[in-house]
Amino acid sequence: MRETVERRLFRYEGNRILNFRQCFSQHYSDLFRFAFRMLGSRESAEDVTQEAFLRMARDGTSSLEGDGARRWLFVVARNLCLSQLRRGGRETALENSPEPVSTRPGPRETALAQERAHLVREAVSQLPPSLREVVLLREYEDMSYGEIAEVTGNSVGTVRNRLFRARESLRKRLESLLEEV
Amino acid sequence: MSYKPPESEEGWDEMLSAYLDDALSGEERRGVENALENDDRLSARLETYRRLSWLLRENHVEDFEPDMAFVREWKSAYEESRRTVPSRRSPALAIPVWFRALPYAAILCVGIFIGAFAVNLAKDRQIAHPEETTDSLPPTTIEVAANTPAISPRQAAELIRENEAENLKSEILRNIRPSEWKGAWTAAWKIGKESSDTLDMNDLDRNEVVRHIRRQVPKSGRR
Repeated sequence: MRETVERRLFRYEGNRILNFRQCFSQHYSDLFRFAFRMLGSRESAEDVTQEAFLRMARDGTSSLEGDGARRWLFVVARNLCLSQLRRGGRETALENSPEPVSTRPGPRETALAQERAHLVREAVSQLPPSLREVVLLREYEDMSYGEIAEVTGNSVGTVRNRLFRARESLRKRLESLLEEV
Repeated sequence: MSYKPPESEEGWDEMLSAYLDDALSGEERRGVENALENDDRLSARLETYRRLSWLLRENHVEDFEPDMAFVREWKSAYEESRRTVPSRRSPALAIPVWFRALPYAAILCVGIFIGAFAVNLAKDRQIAHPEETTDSLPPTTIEVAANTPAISPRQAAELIRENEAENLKSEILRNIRPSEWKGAWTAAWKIGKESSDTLDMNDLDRNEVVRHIRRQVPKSGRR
């Protein structure tokens, strides 16, 4: 039996909403974390995340599935973050950053962990945006070099070099902590 | 592309960073592994990168759970916007179809009216100048035309009279000889004079044929 036009439209809309919901629930947290680490502000990160999903809904890319949608969202979020940073909207990550989750018992250990997390966040937030984004995408989003190249619009060679430079910068900033680990 | 070992320390460090991420080709990987076996500095640097990666992942974990109230609100707003898409039509579409068709109907009516007027005008012109179209037709055509409702009885009578006058003129011109024109003219004149008080004679006097004969007589008389 042939499907009526209305039924096909309904199914199409249904799939779109379903895909969008799935994308939303799957990628919202990752996108928000990335934006927060890039911008250092919960409010700005929420704006960026919301805008990225809004564009996805508007541009009809919610039909993308899996990694395609994820990469698309990260590309949009990354560009929005860079735009905000260029406009001078960068805020210190330490101001609004929630406390790290610690599994270690005891007040002394907790305090040390908090201090260490604070130093790490500060070191990352002080990286230039071009280096910060590759570190965040590699270390926290676990993206391959190819995926990072797609998100940032650079070649794999550039990604490799920037990641090395970011690590070198962090190594120098966190030298004391690295000796303790 | 063939593998070339890095020449600088920085080049080796970059290779180590990529080695840590498993982002090297097979040849590069083997080259790095060979170098690691022979160079303690490289091994120490790789270890440093490993610790750095661990430190980043271990100590940069925040509770970034999004505000679910916001998420629900946003989701429902999105779904609502999807549902209300059909209502975002042009305001012009809210006008009933029959009302939107009115201007077109009015234009059509005006066109029909103008067309009918033009056709009637053309017919009137044909009736007013029958010689333009009826010259080549036999006289019976005019009689037939008189019976048709396309022209008024008065117009039909005029046509018949003109036709009869034309026939009479042809007959007189065909039958009368130039030498007789003078007599005919005198007779007509006399008739006209003697019966000038009668309507019929006046009509005869004004008749185009009689006038023509009168104009011809002096010429023929001069011949």
